Amino acid sequence: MPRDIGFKRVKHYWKLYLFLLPSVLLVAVFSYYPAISAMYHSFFRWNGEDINYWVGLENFKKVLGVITPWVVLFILFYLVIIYAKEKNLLSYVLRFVSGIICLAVTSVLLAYKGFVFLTPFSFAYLYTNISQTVIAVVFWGFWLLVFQFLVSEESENKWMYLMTTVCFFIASIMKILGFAAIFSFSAILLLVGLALWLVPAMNKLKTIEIARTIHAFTSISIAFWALGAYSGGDPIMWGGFYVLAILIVFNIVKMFPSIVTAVVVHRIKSDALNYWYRVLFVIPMIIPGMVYLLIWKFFFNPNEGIFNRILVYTKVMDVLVYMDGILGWGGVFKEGVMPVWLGNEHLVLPALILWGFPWVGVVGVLIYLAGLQGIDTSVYEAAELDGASAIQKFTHIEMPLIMTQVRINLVLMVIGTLQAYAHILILFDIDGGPNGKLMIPGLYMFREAFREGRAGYACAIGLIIFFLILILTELNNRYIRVEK
Amino acid sequence: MKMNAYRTKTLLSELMKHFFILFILSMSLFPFYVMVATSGKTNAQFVGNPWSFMFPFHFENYVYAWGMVYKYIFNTIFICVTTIFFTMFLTLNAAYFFARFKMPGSRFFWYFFLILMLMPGVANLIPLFVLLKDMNLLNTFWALIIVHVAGGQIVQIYILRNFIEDIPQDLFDAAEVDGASHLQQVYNIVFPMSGSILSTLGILQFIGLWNDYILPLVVIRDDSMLPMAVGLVRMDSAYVKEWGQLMAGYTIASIPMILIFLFTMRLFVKGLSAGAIKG
Repeated sequence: MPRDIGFKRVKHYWKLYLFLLPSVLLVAVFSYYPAISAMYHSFFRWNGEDINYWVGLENFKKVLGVITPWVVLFILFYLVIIYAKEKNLLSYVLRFVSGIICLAVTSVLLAYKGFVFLTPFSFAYLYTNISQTVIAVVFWGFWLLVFQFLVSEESENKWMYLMTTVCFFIASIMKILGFAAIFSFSAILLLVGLALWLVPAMNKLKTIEIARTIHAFTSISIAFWALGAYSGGDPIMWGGFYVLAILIVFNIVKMFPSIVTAVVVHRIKSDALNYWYRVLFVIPMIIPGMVYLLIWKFFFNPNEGIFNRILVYTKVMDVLVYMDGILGWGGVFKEGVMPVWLGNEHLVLPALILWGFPWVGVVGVLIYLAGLQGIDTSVYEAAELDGASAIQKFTHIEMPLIMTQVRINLVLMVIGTLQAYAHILILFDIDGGPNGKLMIPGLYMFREAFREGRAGYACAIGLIIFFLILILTELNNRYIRVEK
Repeated sequence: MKMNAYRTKTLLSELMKHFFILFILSMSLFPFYVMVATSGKTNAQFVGNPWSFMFPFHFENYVYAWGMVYKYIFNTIFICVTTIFFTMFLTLNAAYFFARFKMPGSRFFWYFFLILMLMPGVANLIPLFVLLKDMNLLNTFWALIIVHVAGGQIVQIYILRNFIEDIPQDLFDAAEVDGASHLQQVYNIVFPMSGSILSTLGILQFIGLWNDYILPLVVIRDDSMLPMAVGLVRMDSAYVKEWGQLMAGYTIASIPMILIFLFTMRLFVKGLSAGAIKG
């Protein structure tokens, strides 16, 4: 236990502060000062050197477009985060406002400004979007299956997952039919919200409060999305967030291989082999990440790279060419022409998603394994006596035990995806690949500061990412960590 | 008879598991296999057969690559060792302060550090760069070292504090009766007793530093002073003609980490798992 030293005895013990002094000084100068300076300079036109004058909110206006709705939404979001868990009137009002009013305003404004249909409906348009349809069906179908497995039969939350999936599915279909994506989402979610709040039968459900909270959070996210797209802010910035959203969705899918691998390693009966597998799984971690990245860059090289050769060798390339012909991908894959994975506008995002196959994260596997070690062998024996299948064991014994780690990893992954841009800088250079397709916000900040000489503007961008991550951390602390 | 069928079934499922893991392992190790295999080839050999090792194995690729890479390796090792040394020194002292005493202001300083763990550092880069420029630290190793010491100590203080709190109080009492100063207590009690956790933290920091890219990219200008990560990317964009030499360079760049791993394997697997439980 730390020894308590009151104010009176400080003069005998003042030397102890010297133990802390260098750390505090370093942190103050190299962590706190830059953060404060970034906030300060986001109100300036600044090039990092001689030009430096006050411009007020101009930088933020350039990023966000209209500022007031952003601030209002931000405050609302923060209040919902703080109060949603409580069972008082304020909590109800806040969630109702964000779940219904917020979405209603968004939908009406979108309709008023004419952002309902982006493309008039036609069968030709539908045909060119077949691949999107297929992806949507496969993707949401996949989620439905996952939830079927993950959520045990008696779970009260099951209907919620089902409903969410179905809603997103309908919204995807609406988008394919020619509706603007944001309008489809906000309209569908508004309908769901009305059902959640106004249908009396809903009040009898045990999980209704959780459903309303989740709905409120989703609604605010949709409103943020609408603002980003239509409030006249910096289009590059919001295009970047769109890319990030896609990356995050796929990164969630990419979490599964690690979980499955950890579970299989855990189930292996031989202790010695178990240990050696773990050692082998550490190897990808000790090879420097930079080397890994550069090898993958070499893999994606169109003519010499291994990736295209594997595709040709396994005949996958023929399938891709065939699918391109049917689904109208615009001749990305052609007979006899090697696709340029890192140089083709349509292929950079798939390349980035495929990057790192089979997506087994070393740290992830070790963390899950550590969590799994808490399972007593008698639990397995009991399950086997009851005739539990391998999948049932997974959903009933293993998954609940590592759920904490999965949640923490999920949050860390989202924060990491928002922050990281070094790999894109290396693979696609400072302009974010062909046509700036992968210009994510972090990279945009970097470019504005170090090439365009707009350090003040870059600070404003950095600050917005900063607040976003801060909110996520807050959400994590309040809703995910506590339930340990 | 029935028992036999059961046994075959379990054996089969065991085999399936091993097969699955070996498959995943081979897939994740495949890039490194290609790296080593290609490192001994000329371009002509590579185009002919990219899959397997080929003879003659061109060791001259390694000689050439060493000429390109060695300065990056020594730079990075210097940066890593210095950074880890200073971080450890500061961390030990600060964690000792937090773990053993509750002084006025302790809580304040604790949160002063903790908040930084939650604070993302995206926006910091630009002012940090300007700060380093004003301090005349651009294009020096000290810029990298000092920033990494400042940033790296936070998590380490957090972990080490818990660790020091678990050291029995009697040890410190005995030392104090013998007239040991606080500094002596840190270096004669805390340091030897927290060897395993310190080395795990050191290794993790080493991995992070070995891959550090953005900061050296903006801070260091001279090619001869670049650390590993930036050097490799430079090399990649400059020498694309011979894949063998490039891959030999990557292999050489991986060797120091592999060496460290071989010496600390047991500690590493254990430490990572333990850290995972706590975190």
